[in-house]
Amino acid sequence: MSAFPEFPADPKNLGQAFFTECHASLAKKIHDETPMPHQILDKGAGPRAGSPVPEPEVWQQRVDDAMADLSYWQSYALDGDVSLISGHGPWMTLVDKGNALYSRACSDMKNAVAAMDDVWSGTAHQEAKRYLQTTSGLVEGYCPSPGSGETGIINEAAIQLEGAYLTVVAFKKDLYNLARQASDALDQLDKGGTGEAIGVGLIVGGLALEGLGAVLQNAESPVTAFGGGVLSALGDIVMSNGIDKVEKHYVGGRDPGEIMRTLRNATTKAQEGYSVAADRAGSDLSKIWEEIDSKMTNAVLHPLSAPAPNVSISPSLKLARLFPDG
Amino acid sequence: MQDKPERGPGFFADTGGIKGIAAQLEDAASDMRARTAEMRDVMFGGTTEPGATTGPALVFGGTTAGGATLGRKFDDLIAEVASYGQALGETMSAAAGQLRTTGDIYARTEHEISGN
Repeated sequence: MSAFPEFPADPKNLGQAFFTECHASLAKKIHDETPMPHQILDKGAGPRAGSPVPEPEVWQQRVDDAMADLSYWQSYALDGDVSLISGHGPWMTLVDKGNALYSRACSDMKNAVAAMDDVWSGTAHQEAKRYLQTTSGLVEGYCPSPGSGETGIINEAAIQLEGAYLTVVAFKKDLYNLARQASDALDQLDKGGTGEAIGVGLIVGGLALEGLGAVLQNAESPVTAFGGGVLSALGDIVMSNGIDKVEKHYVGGRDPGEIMRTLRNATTKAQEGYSVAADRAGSDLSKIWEEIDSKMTNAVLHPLSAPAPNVSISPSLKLARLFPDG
Repeated sequence: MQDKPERGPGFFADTGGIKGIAAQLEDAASDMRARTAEMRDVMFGGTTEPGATTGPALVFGGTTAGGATLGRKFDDLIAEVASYGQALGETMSAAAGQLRTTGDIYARTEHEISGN
């Protein structure tokens, strides 16, 4: 039997090229393990009566049926390609830019506020300082100083973005696990076994049940949340929240056709789990999007609504105030 | 006896110092705009830099239920974070502008005080 591709060291490599290899391996096994049916000739066949005659058309139909079910699995495996996100992902780009902003823009902003007391005093100074403090607060909420205890918009978005990406990675891993089980069952047929059906727990099933909240709850940053490997955190969800909660889907059977039918059924369950988990992750993304949009509309785009320095006082009035006895 | 005069809004104003702070703020605003523009460019500019995406449907799936919507929201959020940074940069520039105006007014006041 041809070897089935091993799970890649980096789950990001669960791309289309990888799944195409998996499909090719299963297709070959289907062809190899589908037995050739034979018809036993009756008495009318004369001296050949009782002899078995191969039925290649029937064999081809059985192979085609099994391949159709495999194609169903393939259609999901090849829809979307998690390997197309390069490097450490957009979420880490955000974190990197946020760190750069903190070390420059945010600290400059804070220093400017602090320097106000050195160059100006008087009531107008207080108004101006409050205005700058308001602006500085908005900046701090975007890229907070490390150790401040605040997550900040950039990091919060980065966490949710990685969570969304992990959802699709989990789906792909489930599809791999199901195909792997189908391959093992086909291998058993090759050894004269029965292709015993084994239950496979779906990670997306766990996500659909619990969401990513369990992982993110204690995370200070995407690095701490997922630094140990993108799928370990998801695996933890399934395990820690009770694998029993996650319905297992059996893949196996007495012949390739039956094995592929179970693969198709389990694929449907995985797809349904992904749909629920994706909706859930999408809701999380929408929530933070709306939060940012609200801040942008109500605070950032209307900076003049913040306390502004009173610069409308005419020089003459100010002179009078400065030098009332003059 | 005349009451002690109330100190005015610009009781002490180092106009050069105020303008220096304004300049510092403008630099910070410029940094904010530049880096948040990079966020967008790196991820949507079709670059090959780490972190670049090549389209949400290609990553999250276009036909599997939930995939396309999740992909769209994924890109929308990145764009929103970058837009927020751009808006923050504008706000910081506005603050710098306010300070410059203030500095100008107090400089003019000084000018008038000195009788020049």
